[in-house]
Amino acid sequence: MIDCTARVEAGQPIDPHLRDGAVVCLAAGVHPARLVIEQSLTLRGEPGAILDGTLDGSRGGPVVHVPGDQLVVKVVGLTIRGGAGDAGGGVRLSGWSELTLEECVVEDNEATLAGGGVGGGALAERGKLSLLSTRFGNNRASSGSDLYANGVATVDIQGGEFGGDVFFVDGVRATVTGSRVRGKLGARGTTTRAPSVSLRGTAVDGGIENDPNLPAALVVEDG
Amino acid sequence: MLQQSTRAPSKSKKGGATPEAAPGAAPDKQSRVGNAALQQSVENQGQSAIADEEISSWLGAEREPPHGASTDGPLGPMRPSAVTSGKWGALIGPNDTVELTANADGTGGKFTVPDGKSAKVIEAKGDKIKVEVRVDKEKKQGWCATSLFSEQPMLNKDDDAAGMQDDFIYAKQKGDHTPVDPKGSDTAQGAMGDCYFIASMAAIANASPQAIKDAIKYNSTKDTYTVRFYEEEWGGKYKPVYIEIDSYLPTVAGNRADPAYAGEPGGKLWPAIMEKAYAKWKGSYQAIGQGGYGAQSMAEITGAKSQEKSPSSMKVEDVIPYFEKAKKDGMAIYAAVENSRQSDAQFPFRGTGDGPFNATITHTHRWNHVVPGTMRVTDKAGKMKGTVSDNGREGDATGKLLGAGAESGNVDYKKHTADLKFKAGQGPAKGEDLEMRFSYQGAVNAEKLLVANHAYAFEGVVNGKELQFYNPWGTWQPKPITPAEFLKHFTNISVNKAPTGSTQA
Repeated sequence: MIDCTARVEAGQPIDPHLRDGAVVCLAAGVHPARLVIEQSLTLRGEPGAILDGTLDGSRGGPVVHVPGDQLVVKVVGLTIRGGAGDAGGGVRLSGWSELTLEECVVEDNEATLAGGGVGGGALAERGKLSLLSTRFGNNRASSGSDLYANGVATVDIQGGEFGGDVFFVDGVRATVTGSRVRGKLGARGTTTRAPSVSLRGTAVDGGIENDPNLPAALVVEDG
Repeated sequence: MLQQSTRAPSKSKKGGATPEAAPGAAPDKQSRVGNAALQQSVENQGQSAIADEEISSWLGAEREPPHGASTDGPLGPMRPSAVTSGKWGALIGPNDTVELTANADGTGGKFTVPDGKSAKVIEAKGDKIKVEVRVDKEKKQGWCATSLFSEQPMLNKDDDAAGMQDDFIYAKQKGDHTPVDPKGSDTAQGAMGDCYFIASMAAIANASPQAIKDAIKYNSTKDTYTVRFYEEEWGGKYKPVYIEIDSYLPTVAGNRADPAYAGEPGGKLWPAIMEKAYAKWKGSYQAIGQGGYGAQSMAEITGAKSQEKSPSSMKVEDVIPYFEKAKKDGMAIYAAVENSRQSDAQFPFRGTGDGPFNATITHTHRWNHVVPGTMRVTDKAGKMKGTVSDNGREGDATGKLLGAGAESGNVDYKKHTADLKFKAGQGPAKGEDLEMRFSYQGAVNAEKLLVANHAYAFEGVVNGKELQFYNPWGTWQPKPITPAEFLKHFTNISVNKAPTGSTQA
C-alpha cells in the first residue's frame, strides 16, 4: 500500500503538492508539466501516468528539473516526455542532490539548442543521478541523445535501456550495470581531468567511443 | 546562407580588414619556460591547476624564448614538445604553401597545401610526420617536417557530416592583446553550434567587462594568450584553469582575415581567443560545437556558480522588475528561446483517388522549417483511418511518411514539400481533407526576430517596459520584446555574477 500525501488527476496542477517529504501520486493520463523540484519528495505514477512538457503548443524546459542542493528526489513509474531545452530535455539534475528515476520511461524529449544541445532525455551536471530499470527512447540532442552526464555528476545506472546515445564528459563518475545502450556510448575528458566510467554486464550496440586524445578511465567487465 | 539552427547565418557581417599575408617565419625550437609549474602545463597541453600566485608570477616573470621562436625573429605558432599520431593541428611554415611528399625521405609524388592547412598526424618518424589533410573534399596523406606542425584544436564537423571543416585555414589574427572595453556586441558566432558559449561571453561582457579583461592575458615574449577559466570541483568549489593558446585561428577559405568561428574581420579579437582556449580545454572546436549550456559556461568564465530561473515560474508583472534588479546587481543574464513551436493546422495536400497527393508546406516565415519526426497527417473527414507520421530525425533533409494505409510518402524538410500515395481505397476522399500539423523551428516570432532553439544575452530594459536581448550571431538582432513575449518564447534564464573588482593578482 502506497501512502500518498496527494493524488493528482490527469490535467490537474502538480506544483501545489510539491512539499518536503511529500509522496505525490499521479493518476493515469497526461499531466502537462514542467516541474522545478526544490523539495525532497517522491513522484509516483500510477500505470499509464505521463508527465508531458509540451505546454500550449510550445516545447521548452525540462519536464523534471532538480536545481537545488541536498535534496532527495525519487520519480517512480512515470513516462516523461515532451520536454525540451538547451540542456536536459526530459530530466535535469543541476544541484548537489540525489535524483532517482525508477521504472520510468523517458521518451520524445529534445535538447537541440542551436545544434549544441546536450542530454535530450536527461542531463546530470552535479549530484547523483540513479537510473533504475528505466528506459529511454526517441530522445534527440546533439550530444547524448538519451543521457549526457557532465561536470561533477555521479551516475548509477542499473537495468537501463537506451534507444539512443549516452555520453559521459568531464569529471563524471559513472557506473552502468546490466544495461543496454542501442546507440553509442561516448566518453571524453578535458585537458584537466577525465571521467571515470565502469561498465558491468552492459551491451553497447552502437559502440564505445572513448576520445583518443582525452579518454575516460574506462573499465568494462562482462560486457 | 548557413543553416540557422546550427550556426550563425553568415560570416563577414561587419565588413572589414584587408586579408592578411600568410604567417611568417617558422619557429625552430621547442618550448622552454622558466616556471616549473608552467612547464608541466605545457607538457600536459594546457592541463594545469596552477595557483593564481604561480600564474601571476609567471605572467610577470622574465622568460626563456617562446615556442621555438628565435629571440630576434618573428614569433610563430605554438609548437608541441612532442608530435604523436592522432594529434590535430595545422601545417604552418615560412611560405604560402606547404609541400607534402609520398615518402618520409622526400621522394615520391608531391602535392602542396596552403600554409595553415588543418592536418591530423597519422605517423611520426624522427623529424618527419605523415599527416592527413583534405584537398578538394578528398583526404590525402603525405610527409613533411615535424617542425611544420602546430598543435591546434580540432575543427568542427561540416554540416553535411562529410568530414571536418578541413578547408579552414589557420592564420594568425591581429587585434588588441588585452580586451579593450569588452561588451557583448563584440561577439559574433561562427560556423558551429556554440551559441551557448558566445551568448555566455556576451552576457558577461555586458554585465562585468572587467571579468573578461581579467580572464585573458597576453604573453608578449611568446606572442601567446593565457585564458583563465574555472573548473567546478567535487564539493562545488571552483578552481582556476589556465589555457595557453596562440592567435592562429581557423579562417574561412580564401580570406585569412575572416575567422571561421567567433569573430569578424577587423573585429575585437578577445571573443575568438576565449573561444579557442575553451575549445582547447574541452578537447576541440568539435567538442564545444557539439554541446553545452550557459549556466555552465558562464560559471567557467567567472568562477561563480550560475543560478537558473524558469520563465514559466514568473508572472508578466514580475518580468521587468526582475531584469531591472538583475542588471542593477551586475548579473550576467543568458536566456534560451523555446526549441520549437506547434504549427497551426493546415491542409496543403492536393490530389484525388489514392494519390499521389502533393503538398507545399506553409510557414509563417521563410526561415521556419519542420522539425523532423514531428509531422502528423490525419483525415478530418475520417475516411483515412489513423495517422500518417514522418520518420525523420534531427539533421535529416528528408523523411518518409508512414502509417495509416500510406503506400509511399516523402517529406523534404528543406524544400518544404511532401507527397503521399495510399494503398487502394485507403486514402482520403480528397487531398484537402488531409490535415497536417508539425513542430517548427526558425523565427518563432518573426516580427521581433526571435529565433527558436537559440540562446541570447540580455542587454537591458528599454523604456522601462521592454527587454532588449543580443543575438550572439552578431546579426539578426531582436527588437525589444514585451514581458508577455518573453514569457511566451523564453524557456530558461541563467544568471551569473562575476566577482566584483579585478580578480587579476
